[in-house]
Amino acid sequence: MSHAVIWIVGLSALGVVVVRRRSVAIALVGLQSLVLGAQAISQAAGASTVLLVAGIVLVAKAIALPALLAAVVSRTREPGRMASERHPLARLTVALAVALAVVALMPDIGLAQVAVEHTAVGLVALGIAIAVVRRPAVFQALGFLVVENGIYLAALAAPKGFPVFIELGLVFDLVVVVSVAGAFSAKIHEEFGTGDTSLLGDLRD
Amino acid sequence: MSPPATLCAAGAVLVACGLVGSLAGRTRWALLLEALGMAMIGAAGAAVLFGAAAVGAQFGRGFSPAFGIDRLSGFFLFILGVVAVPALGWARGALADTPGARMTAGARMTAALTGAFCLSLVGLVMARDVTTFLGFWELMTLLPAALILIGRHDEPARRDVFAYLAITHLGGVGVWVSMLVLADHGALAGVPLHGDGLRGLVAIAAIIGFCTKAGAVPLHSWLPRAHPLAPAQISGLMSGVMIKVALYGLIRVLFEWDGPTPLWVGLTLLGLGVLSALGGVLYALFQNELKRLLAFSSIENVGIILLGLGASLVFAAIGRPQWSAIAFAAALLHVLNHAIFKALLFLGAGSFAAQVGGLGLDGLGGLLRRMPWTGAAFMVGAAAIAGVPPLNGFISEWMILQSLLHLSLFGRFGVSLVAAASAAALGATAALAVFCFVKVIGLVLLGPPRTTRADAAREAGVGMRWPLVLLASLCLLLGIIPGVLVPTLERLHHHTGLLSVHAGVDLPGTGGLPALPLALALTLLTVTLWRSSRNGRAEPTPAWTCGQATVPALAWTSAGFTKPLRILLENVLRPTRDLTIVHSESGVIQELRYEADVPHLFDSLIYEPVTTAALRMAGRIRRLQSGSLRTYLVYLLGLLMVLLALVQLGVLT
Amino acid sequence: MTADRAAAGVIQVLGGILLAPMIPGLTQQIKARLQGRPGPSPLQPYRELRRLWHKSGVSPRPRTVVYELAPSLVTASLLVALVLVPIGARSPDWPVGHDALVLVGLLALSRFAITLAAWDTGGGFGLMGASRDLTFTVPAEGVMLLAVVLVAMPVHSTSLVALSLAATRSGVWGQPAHWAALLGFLLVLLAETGRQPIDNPDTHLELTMVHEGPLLEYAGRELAFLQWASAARHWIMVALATELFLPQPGPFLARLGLLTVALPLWCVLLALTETTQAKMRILQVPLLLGGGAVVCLLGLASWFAGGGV
Repeated sequence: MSHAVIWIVGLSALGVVVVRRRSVAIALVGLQSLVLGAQAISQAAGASTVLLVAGIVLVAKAIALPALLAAVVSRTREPGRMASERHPLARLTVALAVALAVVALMPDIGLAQVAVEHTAVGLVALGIAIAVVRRPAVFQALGFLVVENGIYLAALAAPKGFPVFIELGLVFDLVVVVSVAGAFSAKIHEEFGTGDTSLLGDLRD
Repeated sequence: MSPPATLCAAGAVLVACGLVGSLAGRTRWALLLEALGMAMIGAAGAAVLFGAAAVGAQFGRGFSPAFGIDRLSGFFLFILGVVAVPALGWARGALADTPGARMTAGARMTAALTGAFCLSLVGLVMARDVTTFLGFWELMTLLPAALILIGRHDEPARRDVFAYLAITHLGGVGVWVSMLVLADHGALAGVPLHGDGLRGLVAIAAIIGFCTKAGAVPLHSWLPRAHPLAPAQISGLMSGVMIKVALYGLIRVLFEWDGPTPLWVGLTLLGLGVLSALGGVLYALFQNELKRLLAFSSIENVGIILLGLGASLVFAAIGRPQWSAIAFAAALLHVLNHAIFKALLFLGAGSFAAQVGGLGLDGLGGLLRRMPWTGAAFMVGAAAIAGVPPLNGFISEWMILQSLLHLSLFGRFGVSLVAAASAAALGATAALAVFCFVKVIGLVLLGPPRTTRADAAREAGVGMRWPLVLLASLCLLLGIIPGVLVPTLERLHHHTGLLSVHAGVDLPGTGGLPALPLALALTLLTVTLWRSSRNGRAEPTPAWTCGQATVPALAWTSAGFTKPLRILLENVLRPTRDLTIVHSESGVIQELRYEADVPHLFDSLIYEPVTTAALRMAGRIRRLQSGSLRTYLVYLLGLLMVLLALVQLGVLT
Repeated sequence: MTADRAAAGVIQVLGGILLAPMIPGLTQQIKARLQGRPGPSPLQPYRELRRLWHKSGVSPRPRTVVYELAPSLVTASLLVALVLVPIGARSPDWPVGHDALVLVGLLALSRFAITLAAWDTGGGFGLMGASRDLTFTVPAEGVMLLAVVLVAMPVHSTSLVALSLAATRSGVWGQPAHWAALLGFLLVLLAETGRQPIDNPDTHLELTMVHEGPLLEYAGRELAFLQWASAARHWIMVALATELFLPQPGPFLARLGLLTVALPLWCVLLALTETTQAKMRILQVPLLLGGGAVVCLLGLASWFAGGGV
């Protein structure tokens, strides 16, 4: 796996932490999924079943889900900058610290390339970190997508790959989760006029 | 399939048919089918108990469902049959007596769930793998709750059912822990557990788990709340069989899978037994409601059984296998005896309630003359549970007392002291039981009726009478020829029995208990003396009572009869008394109200502080629940990092 | 040997039935002498039984079959109990065995029957006595069992014949445990026979009655049965105290001689207690019996401290 792929994937995840606009973040995640999908197709050349699955994953993650989220975002306009958002640099520091800590602590999971292994683990940690540090509801769905991309990356680098059923199942889960998250995001926006999830804390009994 | 297996399967199918039939509305036919099915299952159990080959699977390693009957299971199936058939028959009779009730949805659901409850008990006793066992265990806990809630929707009933579910589920953790550890180590299939720590853990978990369900003090608080709420036939099944099935689990764990147990396990059971026996009967004595009293008395009897089981374990630990087997047989005999007379008493209470409307002890009276069959059967049951010869309760209590006595003769100083104290406690328990059931018989059956409804009571229909008469004759039969059963029960212990089959019970180191001649002598002498005592009678007059007029206001009450003991134990029981002047005219008091109660101290001193503390802790923990998704994700990340750090440090491998 | 046992059997039955009323009679006589009164003749209980035998019963309302059967059942259980107690450590092979705990059960049966009869007529005084009697029994049965444990220690048996044989062994006499058991048993004897300081057999004040209370509603032959049963309870307890606790010679005739001497001696002892002790407050009685339990447990400890026999 080339270093370019690894760098693009890692940097795009960090980008999601930093950027202000939701549409840009969605585009970044889409790019990440696209790169990974392309990598998968290039690896699968020859084996038709694997190729088909990789195609389905690519379409779902790089095109369908970003499009869905983009549609949600375009229909809900944020009334300017969210007051509760932290400074981008603070977000970046926290996210990086979490990701590096997890990468450092994670025992060896047995992938071929050490760099890929670290990136995959880092992506999973970053995905959770994105959901933590970003307030708008869409970012929770994006964080989830990044987590899944981390697992996908690990699967690509695994000596035998993941069984196709598991990959298909993962994608199915992803579609369901992101669709629900998108729907809720729209609903939250309708109710509160903003997608700031910190407002939801007042809803508990 | 062997005949017992066929019989058992056919029985289960019949019960299932009855279950479906009652949902379809044919309630009386359904109950008949269920009773028939349970009779067949009980017969299959008896066949295996008395020597037919074991049926079905053995206990094995796997987790896939398996069923089978060995002799111990056979014994408990036999008990189930003996109790379930009269209980279902009584329910059928009760439906016949109240014509309107037959078609109500409540009656149909009750009949269906009763069948399901019976099947869950059968399933538990026949389970041969851990998943089936635990599944039926939970079912057995949940179904009575549903049965109670069909009949009672009021707030106090719901609270009591909640307490029942909460306590039994918390205690049930012990069952799960012990069973899963045993299954994990293959102990169910006969591989002995290694390590004293692990074995101790299994023993403690099993004692907590099974004793909660059996209602041993101090884990009993649910029992006197839940048992009185249910319809009479369900109370009979719960007190008669369900709590015994919990003891079945305890026996399996302590005597088979986790055995041989160290000395302290037996001593713990003895301690629990003394607490339960004395505590149960003391509180039973001060109850003013018949079914609640009977529920407390079930706790007492579980205590007596635990004394027998504990003595058996201690005997095994000090190297006396023969007496260990005798104590074991004694405990099992008391299991059977208690199932019979407790079912009889609960069903009788149900018959009285149907006539009088309530079961407050001070509102009954004189029912022996008004309901001669029900009353006589009830009296036999009460005498049996009081443990007077020549009824069955005396036989098993005598055997357990002998076991404790010989334990103190054979043991070293510590064991001997504990055993002697337990024997003395059991003696006191027996005396208290006589006190308690003299009070019950006196207030319910004898004397003048205390309310107009009690005065107007009529004998119940045949359908409600025959189950009582059947159970009462079993009390008599087992009191007269217990010896035909005791050697069989002794052989259920690993030690091969030495007792031979007589009518009576002839234990080594005792003067023997020849039950049949004893009963014959007592009966013949009583009848002869009674005939010779008739020397004419004066005309009927009111009772003399030293010249006092017999006015209803002076009639003795439940509280009055037990007052000497209540005053004596004031420091232990802390009774409450409340004297209020209700009505006074120009300084002259016209009416007083006196209220006295013996509060259930275990509730206020143990359970309430525990629940309060638990709720306070829950309130603190609740602050973690911010309701924010991101906070939860932070917890998740934190947990992940902690776990990873632990892995790095080598704590988790 | 068989002749011995046959003779023992005859004494068990005939002696028990005929001589039993002598024990309370003699006690009353000695007590009266001790108190400086001429007192009734020791044969007074027989005269009362004869008088009652020729009277008719009463029929209080309400009553059931329980009231009618209770006197016979009480008497029957005591009759069976009579043959459980060996005489001179011998007993023919009665089919009812000779177990100590069966004896306890039979005494419980008689108490059960008579207290139920008290409920049947519903009279307040009868129930008052019944309730007190049952209250005293709770500690008394505990002490009774501890005493049985202690006397059974040397022989590992609860058969009354074996226990009685053990009393001939000299080693038993050095044991404090044996004396502790005797003390416990004597307390039970007082409670069971209803003597002072636990109950006053002479009382005519219904409010203080314990054992006499439930008898208030009876007359005629039924009362005669109940009075005989009370005397038989004396006989059983006193015979047991002699057989199990007194130093016994070996041969049967010598033992019989000891019994003949011991029975009046127990009466003297009872009379002495009754003369010197006032009746206790009712709520003190269980404490007294509890004290007996403590003594018995100390006796058990001393048994192990002494290493047994």
